[in-house]
Amino acid sequence: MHESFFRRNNLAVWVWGVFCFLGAADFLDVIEFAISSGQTFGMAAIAVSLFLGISVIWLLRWLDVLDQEPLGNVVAVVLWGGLAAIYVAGPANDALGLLIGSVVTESSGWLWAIVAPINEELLKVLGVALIIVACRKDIHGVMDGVFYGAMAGLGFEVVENIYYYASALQAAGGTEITAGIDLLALRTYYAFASSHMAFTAIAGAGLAYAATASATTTRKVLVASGLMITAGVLHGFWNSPIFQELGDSPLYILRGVPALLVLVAVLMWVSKHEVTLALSVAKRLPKGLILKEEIPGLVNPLRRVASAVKRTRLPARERKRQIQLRNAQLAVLRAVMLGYEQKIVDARIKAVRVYR
Amino acid sequence: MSNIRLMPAEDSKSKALPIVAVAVAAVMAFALFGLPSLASDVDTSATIDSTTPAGSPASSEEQVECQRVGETLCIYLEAEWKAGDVGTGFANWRYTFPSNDKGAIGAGLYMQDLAPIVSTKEALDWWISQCAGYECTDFEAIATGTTTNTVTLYDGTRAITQFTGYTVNSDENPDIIQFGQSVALLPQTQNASVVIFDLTFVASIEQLSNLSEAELEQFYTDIDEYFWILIEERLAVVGA
Repeated sequence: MHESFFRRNNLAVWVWGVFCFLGAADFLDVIEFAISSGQTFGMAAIAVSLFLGISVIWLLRWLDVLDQEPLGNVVAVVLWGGLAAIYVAGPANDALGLLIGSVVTESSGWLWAIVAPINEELLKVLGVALIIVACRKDIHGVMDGVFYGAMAGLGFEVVENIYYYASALQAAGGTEITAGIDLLALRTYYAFASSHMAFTAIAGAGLAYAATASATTTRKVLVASGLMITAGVLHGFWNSPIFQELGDSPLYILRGVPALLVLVAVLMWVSKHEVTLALSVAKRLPKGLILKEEIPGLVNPLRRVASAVKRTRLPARERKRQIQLRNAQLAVLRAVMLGYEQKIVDARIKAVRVYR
Repeated sequence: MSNIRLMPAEDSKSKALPIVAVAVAAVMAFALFGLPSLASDVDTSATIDSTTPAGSPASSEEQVECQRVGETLCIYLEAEWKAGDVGTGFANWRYTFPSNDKGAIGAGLYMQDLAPIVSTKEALDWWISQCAGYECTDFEAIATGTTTNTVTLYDGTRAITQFTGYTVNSDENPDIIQFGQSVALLPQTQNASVVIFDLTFVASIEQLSNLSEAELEQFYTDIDEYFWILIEERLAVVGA
């Protein structure tokens, strides 16, 4: 049974609600401007951004059919990134820019490479923290932190892009769309997955590690803060003036390469350890319930993706049976890993036998 | 390998939830209100040379205090400016709307090509020295296609102020905009003017883009008002 973020007596929902409401009011102003400017581009840019965002969520959920996070929780964290975090980031960035502007000048090109990561990475990952704590029973490991982090980053990215389009429109007096189209191409197509989604996924991994791993407090703090700092540094690199000369070139995507590489490394690290953990749990289960060779396909996201693609070739009925079997196996693994009551574990084992 | 072993899930009604929720709210509130408050506290001594144009005579160490114009415009004057040495005068500025945190900051309220001028008298002498062969003492305003105002200086000299329009630093990816007003002395016998006083504001386009239409209008109105204050102060305008 999933644990919904939107439930009664959840203080986190109130915190979430207040800041998302403030962000929504600000965001609606921007939408209103884009629409009132009468620019087809403005509306098209917003539509493309929102469509892209929703598509990414849908795609990840489709690929991850065995470990889908509750849709309500996903929406909560996406909205946190897109409304709450970005709303607060604006004035916070301006203020921090003023505070350190005497040390790092804007003209050097490094001011926003320092300011934005500090504020934005922290603000985005706070939404992940709320979900992890409020829905702890649904957090099955570090990979969930990666996923929720990516979702917070996705929300932030989509709305930030819309803000940029609106700014380009406003700067152009609502008449010239060239600058906006360039922005759309640069930010949406060249660099979508390699910026906020990747940064916050990395930071989210650290947070989930601190919440779920059986490790010493020192180790947890080191891993969480290390990954948070890594996300900030990658964000700073992305914002840095190093690639400024590339301008509108498609080589713009180069600035996101380090973030993608680090994200892949984090995914490999998490997958490797979660497979190891799952293997040790499977050994304690009745023989034949979960085969050794089935483990990677259950807990490794890349293997799961490969399996999902492979299953598309099967007849619908067999595909459904396999998905149900994998779901049931995964449910058993989680119940054991998370220390559920024996009667829950037994019920899940029974389900595996039904689908086997 | 065992370092990533899962801990049993806590009951979501545990103590951690309210603590984390309150902590998140506190961090968000600090970022939203605390940081801007801290920044406004240090504004009067802060250096704001974020968009200093290359070659401008900005010297952050010499910015000493904020000269307020109304509630919104704050000018950090350099010592040279205060001393009336407009040839090297330069100031940074910050513009904020009291109702919210939006606004614009920038550097570059500066005067160009005025090295020899420290007073209207000297301006005239300098002008005369520059225009040999013309009837330099017979000035009058020449209307142009752009917004102009005729001003009369204390000694009866007439000059025009001219809105110099907007320029941006790049056609493709502009991020800085300059706008300003000039005061030019114009002889009857020639079409060319000589700018004796040129005020230029430099601002970040991104920041101005964040303003609403009404705020932008207010911003330009206030800046324009400040131009006039400076023109009147510096050139001893007695009639306009």
